[in-house]
Amino acid sequence: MKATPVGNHIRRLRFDAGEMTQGALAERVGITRQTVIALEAGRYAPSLELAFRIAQAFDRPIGEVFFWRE
Amino acid sequence: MTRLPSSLFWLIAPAALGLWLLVAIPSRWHGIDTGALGAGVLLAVAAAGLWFASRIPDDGASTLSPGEQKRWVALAFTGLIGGLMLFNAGIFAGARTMAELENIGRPIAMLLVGWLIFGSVLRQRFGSAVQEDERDTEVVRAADDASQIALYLAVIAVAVTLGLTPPARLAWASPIAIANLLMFALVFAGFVGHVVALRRYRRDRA
Repeated sequence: MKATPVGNHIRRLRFDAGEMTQGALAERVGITRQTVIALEAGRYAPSLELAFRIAQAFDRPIGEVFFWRE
Repeated sequence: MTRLPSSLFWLIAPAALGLWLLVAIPSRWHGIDTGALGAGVLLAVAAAGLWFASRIPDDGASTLSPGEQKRWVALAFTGLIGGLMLFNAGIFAGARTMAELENIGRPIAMLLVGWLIFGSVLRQRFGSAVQEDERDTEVVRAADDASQIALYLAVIAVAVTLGLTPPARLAWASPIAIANLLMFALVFAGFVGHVVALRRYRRDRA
C-alpha cells in the first residue's frame, strides 16, 4: 500500500526528545502504540486534532512535525 | 525467549477435539451433549491461550493493537458460530419446533457467553492502556459499512429465494428455518465486518 500524502518527522523528533519511546508518545497523546507505528510508517494520516496533539507533545508548531508530500 | 509457540502447539490437539465434538459427530452420544462439550473444550482452549499469552513479558513489541486483538477474537467466535450453523443447516431446514434445535442452540449460546467472558478478560488484560483511538474509529466505520452491505445482500438473497422459488420446493422453509436463516445472515454480516476490519489493520501495518 502506498503512503498517505501526509508525511511527518515523528521518528526524528522522538529521538531529539531524549529518545522518547513510541509507547511514551502514545500515552502522552492518548493513542495506541500501534497507531504511532502506522503514523511513522506513513500508513495513517492523523486527524487535525491528533496532529495538533502530537505537535504539542514535542512542543513544536504543527508545520515542523507534519508536511504535505509533493 | 518466550515459550508461547510450543505452548500454543499443545493447544492445537484439544482445539481440534473441541471442533470435532462441536460439528463432526451427532449432537448426542451415549446421552452426552457433545455440542456443549465441544463448545466447553473450545472455551477452555481459548482461556488457556489467553493465559499463555498473558505470561509473555510485555516488552512493548506487540504489533497487534487492542482493537485488532478484539477483532481476531470476534472473528474466531463468529466463524465458529457461523460454521456450526452451516454444518447443521439440514437440521435447521427440517425443524418445526424450537425444541428440535436445542442441541445446536446450547453450544451456540455457550460460545456467545464465552465470547462475552473472553472479551471482558481481554479488556482487563490491557489495563489502563489506551484501548481505542481515532484509527480504531475509522476501522470500525469501514467494518460497519461492509457489514451493512453484506447484511443487505444476505437479506435480499433470502427474500429472492423465498419469493421466486415455487412453493412446492419451499417445504424446508418453516418459520423456524427462516428465522435461523436470518440469524445466519446477521452472523455472516458480522463476520464480513471483522474480516474488513482486520484487513484495514493489516494495511496500516504493511
